Amino acid sequence: MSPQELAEAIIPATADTRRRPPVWRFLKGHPQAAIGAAILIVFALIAILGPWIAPYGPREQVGPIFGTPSNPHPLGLDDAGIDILSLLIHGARITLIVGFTGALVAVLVGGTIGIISGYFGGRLDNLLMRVTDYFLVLPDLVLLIVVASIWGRSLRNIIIIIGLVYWTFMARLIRSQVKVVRERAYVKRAQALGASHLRIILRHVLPQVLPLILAQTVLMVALAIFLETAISFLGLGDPNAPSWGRMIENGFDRSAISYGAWWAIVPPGLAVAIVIMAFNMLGTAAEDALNPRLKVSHLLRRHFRMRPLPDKDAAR
Amino acid sequence: MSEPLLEIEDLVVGYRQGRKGVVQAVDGVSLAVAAGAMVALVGESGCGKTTTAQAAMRMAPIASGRIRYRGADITALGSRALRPIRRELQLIFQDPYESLDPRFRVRDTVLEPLQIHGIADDREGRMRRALERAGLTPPELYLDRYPHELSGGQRQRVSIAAALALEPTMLLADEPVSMLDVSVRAGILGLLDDLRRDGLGVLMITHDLSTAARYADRICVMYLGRIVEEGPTAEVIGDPRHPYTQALLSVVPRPDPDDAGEPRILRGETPNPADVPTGCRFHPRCPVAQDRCRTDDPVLAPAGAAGHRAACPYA
Repeated sequence: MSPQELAEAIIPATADTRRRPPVWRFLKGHPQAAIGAAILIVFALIAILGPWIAPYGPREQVGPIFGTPSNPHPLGLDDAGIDILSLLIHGARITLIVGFTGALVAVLVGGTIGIISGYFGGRLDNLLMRVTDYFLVLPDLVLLIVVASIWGRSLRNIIIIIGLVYWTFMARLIRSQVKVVRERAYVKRAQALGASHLRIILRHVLPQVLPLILAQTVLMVALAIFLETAISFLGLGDPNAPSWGRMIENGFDRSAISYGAWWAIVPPGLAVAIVIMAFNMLGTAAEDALNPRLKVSHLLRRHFRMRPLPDKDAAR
Repeated sequence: MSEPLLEIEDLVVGYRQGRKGVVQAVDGVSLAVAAGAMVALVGESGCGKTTTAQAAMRMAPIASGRIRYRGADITALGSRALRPIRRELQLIFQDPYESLDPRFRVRDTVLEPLQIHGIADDREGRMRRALERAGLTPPELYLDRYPHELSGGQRQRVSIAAALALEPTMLLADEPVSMLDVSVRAGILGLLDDLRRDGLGVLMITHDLSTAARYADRICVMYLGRIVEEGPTAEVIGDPRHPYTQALLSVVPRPDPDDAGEPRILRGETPNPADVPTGCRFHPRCPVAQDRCRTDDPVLAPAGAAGHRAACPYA
């Protein structure tokens, strides 16, 4: 018998669950996450394939002003006679790109600051957390109006604003989690071995908080899309990028409501709502599964710990 | 006894507590461990045993005193200069359920020290030898296991294997068996004993006097940040001089029912280390305390046979 066979014989592998991809297991156990993921895949496909599947161009006048929904234009036309369905398809790309990159900026900035702050602690922690507090108390809307009017209306600036507003949440969350992980004995052991801070962070701390970061990122995308829509609705969006928020703003601006042209406003509004809901369904399920604060992870030692027998008190 | 590997001299470790005070977790501890010797540091929870070990590893803030390794003062070395020392001095943690990264396979855990110290040649061989030396044979059985697939005793062996991977000369074992099932304790202790016979110095921290009596060459009994009695194991166990040691020994169960002796249960609780009693720090709980114990702080003085010292004027 080879040692490998011996190993299999003596310690039966508990690996059957490990061999299946964990993502698959997760989706199977959380139907709401599966629904959210399915919706997002559909929207992502629309965003990617937009230019090819949209029946008309985003600036192409194809009929009368506020033309009602009808056969060639199922969602009607807007104030310039542009096909709403085509606008919606083109807008998906912009909205999702802004959502993802905005969330990414927030996660990268917030995650880095959270890890540094939580890991090193002390004065550095204090300083970074005061800066975080400062950003946390700034009213989001005022901040974004000021920044957008100073820097100008562009997609890049909207992404920066989203990062600026949301990194604080990430930083606080990650910091508190890193503080817990830092006190684990295996981190102390690595320190005793003389491991560098960078090594400890990358090998021991980051893998432990990564699931949490991933779950939060998904939720953050929903927030970022929401904020992008709000910014655009306030008329501070990129005038050259027809996002869903811009469509709603445009409808309002050109009195679609007094024309009774609900189709200029409702479809983009619904699209935003559905995408945000889908991200939330996926994100909260992921958070449930991955955030140790919400659910006792199977990795916690309590799960395995044997009670020491009372004889250790004998010497007392 | 040969030249000591690790010497701790007059070590004081204080932690700031709030704005007001400093807690002297360790207050003037001296001890030495030679190659091939096992010294046991015995005492109850909170008496500063673990802090002493961590200070020796330069992981606790040292207020005063010296740590010497092979005669060289390492008390103030920077982290870069400390790296070669860390290779030689290895710490084994109390809780094998916590001290292994749950995401690391056994292989990764044992390889990690080699990676940290940039040892590239024969990593695989070193790792296997360390596992075998720690009693995990054949290593193939364990290499790809995660900690949660191992028993407590196996985990502690993995932890020891990781410590042995760097071929250290000195082990500091912080309560290596207190989290383990009684049935596997003897195995782990026997392993440490074997390593000592191979020439490693071992400082074992324990609250279990009978463990210390069975395996250690020397015993140091700690109370509230101080060593109150120390000496060769046979001396300390056979002829305890300090009332604290006597009380500890009186409650160790004996196999002979006729020789049960009267257990001496100490009054009260361990005092708050932030508010150490005046005079002898043991006097509020001491069965033989006199008036002078309230004011005079006794130092370790020779008592009984050679090498046996106790910090009690009535020893």
